[in-house]
Amino acid sequence: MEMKAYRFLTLSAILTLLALSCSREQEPTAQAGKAVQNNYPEAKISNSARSASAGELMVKLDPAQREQGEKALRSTLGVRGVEKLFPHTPGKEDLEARFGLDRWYLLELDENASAEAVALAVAGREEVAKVEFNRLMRSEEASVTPYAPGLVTKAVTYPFNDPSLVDQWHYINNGDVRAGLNARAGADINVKDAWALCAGDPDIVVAVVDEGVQWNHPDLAANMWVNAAELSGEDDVDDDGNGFVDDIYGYNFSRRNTPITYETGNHGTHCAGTIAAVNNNGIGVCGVAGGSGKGDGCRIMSAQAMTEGSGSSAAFLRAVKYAADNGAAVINCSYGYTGDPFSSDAAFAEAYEAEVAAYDYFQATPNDVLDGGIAVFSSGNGTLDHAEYPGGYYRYISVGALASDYLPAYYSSYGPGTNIFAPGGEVQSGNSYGEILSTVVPTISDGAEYAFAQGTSMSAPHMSGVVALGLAYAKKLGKTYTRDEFVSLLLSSANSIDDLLVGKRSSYGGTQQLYKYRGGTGGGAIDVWKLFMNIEGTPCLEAVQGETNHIDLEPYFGGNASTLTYLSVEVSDRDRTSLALKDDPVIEYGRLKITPQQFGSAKFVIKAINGGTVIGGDKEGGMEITRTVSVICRPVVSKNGGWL
Amino acid sequence: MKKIYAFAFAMLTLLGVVSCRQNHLAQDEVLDIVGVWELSAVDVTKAAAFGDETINVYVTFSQDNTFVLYQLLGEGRYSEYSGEWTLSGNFLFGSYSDGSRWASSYTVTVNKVSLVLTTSDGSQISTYRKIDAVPESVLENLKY
Repeated sequence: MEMKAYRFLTLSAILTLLALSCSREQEPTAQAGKAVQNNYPEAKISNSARSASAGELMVKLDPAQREQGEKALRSTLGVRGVEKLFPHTPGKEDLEARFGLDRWYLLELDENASAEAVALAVAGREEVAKVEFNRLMRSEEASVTPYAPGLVTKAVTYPFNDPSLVDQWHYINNGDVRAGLNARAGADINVKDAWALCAGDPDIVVAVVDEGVQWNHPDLAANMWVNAAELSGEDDVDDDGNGFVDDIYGYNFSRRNTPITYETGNHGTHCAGTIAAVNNNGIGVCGVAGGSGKGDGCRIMSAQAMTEGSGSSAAFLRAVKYAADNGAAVINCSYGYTGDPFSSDAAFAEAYEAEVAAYDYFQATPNDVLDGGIAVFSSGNGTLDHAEYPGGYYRYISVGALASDYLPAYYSSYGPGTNIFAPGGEVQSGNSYGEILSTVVPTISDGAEYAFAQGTSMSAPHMSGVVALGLAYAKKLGKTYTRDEFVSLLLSSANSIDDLLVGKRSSYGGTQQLYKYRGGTGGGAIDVWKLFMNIEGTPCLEAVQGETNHIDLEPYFGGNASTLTYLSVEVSDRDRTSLALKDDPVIEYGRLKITPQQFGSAKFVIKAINGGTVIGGDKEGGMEITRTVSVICRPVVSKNGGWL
Repeated sequence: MKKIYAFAFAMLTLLGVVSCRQNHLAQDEVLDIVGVWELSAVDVTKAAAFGDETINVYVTFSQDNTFVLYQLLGEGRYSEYSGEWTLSGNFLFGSYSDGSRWASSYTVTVNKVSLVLTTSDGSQISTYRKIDAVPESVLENLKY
């Protein structure tokens, strides 16, 4: 009598965060690394050769001695080739100089040269400010659980017709036990009602810095960023003069002279789907900023920094610069260093100066809405009580992972350096529906076009998609911000989960003591509706389901709110239904009285008279004032797991 | 103890489960849910399928507006919960003894043998049948 609607291969879904192995570094000395004495060359070398790429160094020159330094580098014993680490992009001279990108070089070494010896020799030159080994970083094999959809369910109340939206609890969570026995209705990014206001904008581009993205995937193709000049140009020609040949959907930095490869790993494609899989196209899954079916999705750029699970630092840095120089407003960085090599931001910035320069460069490159880009990282799967690097660095957004019960997944790192939490999924015993469903490459996924995966690798693209969606909405409303202003809005558009962090939580990964996460989730769980209201400037209030709420209006009507004469409270039919209001909303003693019976969001337009009890014009009286407030009814959930 | 296998496409219609001697309750009739109830069916209309866990639920609503709930989701021993309930017209809500509210409020239809609770967002309809008492086998199989 029991049936399983979906047949899927029983591969255990393992962590899919890109874990880049990096041996534990010695903490460098406290020196700033700028003016370093000639007789301490070691101080300029910021990491060890142990995980170094076969024979490559990254070297930063003193700006005043660049030409001389270049010559010196080329003539150093053991050095086979010298090229700029960051290719120059016409028009970006100022920023390249400001962040020192124009002073970094990549040295290719002779086959039998000792990297340490050459590093010492190079560091001994007075023209050299810094030496880093170009680390080869490896990721854990991305393991996904293929998904084979069953009968298409008529999704009556879902906003889009993608048949597998019903299995994406991370967007719309109905508390269906299939996503987890403790799945809570409303434990999602709260995007359902926001999608009605805005679902994307093709001018907003998110670069996936990762394995290659399958640009011809049926549920991604329409939302891929396309370099039009290259698409219609000639092969083997840099048609648009941006310094890269045939970069149609992005570029492959992990292999020289190779187009984007996506069959070498699923990780990039899965992240891309979460960000902007095509919505409302009658197939597959949805993406956070995937549009509404009218070609209005945000665009995905493939900045390939890895192949088959490995990529060098230089590849990542170049991918980030490419994203900045070709119009990406957001970079999704689902990777980090395992082994917890850094104990402080200062240590990280000191050791990885080239990396920080690249990310800073990206975050200073303006776009349509902001005066700088936004880098989003995963917080790490090491169950640590602090965010892993580079995401943990204070200037980057680091995202922890939630499961379908609105609680931290067992694997997620948290604590200092973690800015926000978003769904990352968690395997439930017996099924994968508690994980994150997104696009994958069929040829390496046993023929499946969609699959489940879990990890902070999945929570970062949720946030990247939310950033992109927020930028799209801001653009729609004609708003612009400084980068810092927008990041502030983003990180305060969240729900606290601290009330739920009591007792123990048991999962496939073991037992968590939830109190440990209190105060360690940054702003809390990201909420797209709140972000939209923050962008609009509409006050966002909370109501409790199943109760009569008396919401204080003093912050919106001033200190005299309780004695004003109110004219009306209006709510649209759609919003009324969304909250399933028991009665008409009314104002009593300066409070909005509503009884929502269902979780959802709605806007109320409230009119009052300021300066009288009647509106003037005839008799002397007051003027009409109007304020709009939005109300989110968060799900009331039995915190203890009770059935009712 | 009746086991429920929540199975795919469980589209039990409301009418089919509630053995109706009356098709609807009069508007002003006072609903009475006092008694001992065993979960007999769950209809989740917003998802294509459940997992194949078994769900066992027994709930006793008492005259003094308190309740006791025994539940076993999947394997193991029964968990016991208690708390308070309020029925306002056909609108049922409640809270547990630890202060947390029920996961949802419900609209109620009930007769002498059957109780149907529909979550406020309509996504889940649970049907209970009236029994005399919570079985001994449940009370002997509680979590410590």
